[in-house]
Amino acid sequence: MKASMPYAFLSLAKVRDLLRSGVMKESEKPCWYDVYAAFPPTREPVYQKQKERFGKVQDPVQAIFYQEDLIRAKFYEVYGNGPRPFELTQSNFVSTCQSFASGGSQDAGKRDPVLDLTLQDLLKGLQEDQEEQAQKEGRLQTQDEA
Amino acid sequence: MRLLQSVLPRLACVTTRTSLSVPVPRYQPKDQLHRHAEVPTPTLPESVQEENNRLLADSLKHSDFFHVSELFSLKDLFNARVHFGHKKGCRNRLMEPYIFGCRLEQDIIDLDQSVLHLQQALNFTAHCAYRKGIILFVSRIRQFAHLIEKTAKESGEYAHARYWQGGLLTNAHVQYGTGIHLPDLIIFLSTMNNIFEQHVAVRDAAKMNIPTVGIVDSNCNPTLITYPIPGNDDSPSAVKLYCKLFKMTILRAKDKRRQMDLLHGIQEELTE
Repeated sequence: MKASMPYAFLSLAKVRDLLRSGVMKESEKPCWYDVYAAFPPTREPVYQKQKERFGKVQDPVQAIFYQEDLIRAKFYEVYGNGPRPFELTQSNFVSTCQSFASGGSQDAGKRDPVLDLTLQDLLKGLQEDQEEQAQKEGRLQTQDEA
Repeated sequence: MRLLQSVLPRLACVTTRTSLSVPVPRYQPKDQLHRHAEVPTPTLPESVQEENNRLLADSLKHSDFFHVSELFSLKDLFNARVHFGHKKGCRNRLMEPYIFGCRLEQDIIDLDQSVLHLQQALNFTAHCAYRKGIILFVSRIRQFAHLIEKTAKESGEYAHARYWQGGLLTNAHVQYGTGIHLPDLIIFLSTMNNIFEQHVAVRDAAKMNIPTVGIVDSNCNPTLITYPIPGNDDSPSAVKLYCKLFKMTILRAKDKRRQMDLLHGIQEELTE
């Protein structure tokens, strides 16, 4: 099908051929020709249509997650939205959740010791889960080696 | 004029250099209402032509003749929120190579690539301005129409931030008369129009052999743009940054050209 053939509307080769054949005179050479020849783009501007993704094709763009996200998820599960609202006007604002995620603050303990205990327990539980998983993986590896 | 003759060779165009008049009859800023056609430039003597050619060829030897890479840094792009793309569902698959990742369903554009592409685009713009090319800023975001027109005016170039009539580039000789000089470069501050389809000017510029520089967001098709710049086109901070950068490059290139012309003018006087 003619429509599916890749066609470059704008190309250096087309202008070069026009100049060589004499259809376009040297005086009519476009001012961008030499610049394009010296600094070509990373990708030639050939038109491509967007293709639909069908079936089990995986999303090539990876999801961005951090280690702190686990702690953040636990925090929001326990505390809900958090004690104080986010101050978006300040660019250096650190929320309660963020201070937990980056190592734990002592202020939260003073406010609500009971809830704080449950969070500490949950975090410990999380750490224990991670250690168990690491141990299991270690055992599997030793089994594979053996 | 030259491009028009190449595209439509039968048309007997007079080789006058008329500036591109305001395209849309609905809106005409006051200072452009009584625009006259420019006086045709006389042909230069051969020695000066050769000088000119040598000047232009010399500028291409340096990889960054106008030091455009000094105008911005990755941190500036980050602070201006250039890395924010649209949501995952809006994504154009052809933008996937330029996207760093997806954070809670919002696409994050890879700023390392944006820096490279922006450098290339600014370098190309600077060289075109150095060669006295006509530059047209195009966008269909109503929020930034005034900003873009102001940027174009301050850099001494042209803008079209209003409704785009179909035959503006492809039917120019019928709409604006013979001897029209089309832009040598079109800069898109956004390649989408108000109904989230690709702007007609992208395709028309490619048809008319006009190179394009364009900001492509995560929902845009970057394949027809000659020098795409992956980045955010919706935040005011990002668009302000782009306008500032384009204005600075164009003014730098024009100043350099004026300097060079003066220098060579003095040299000629000395030799004579």
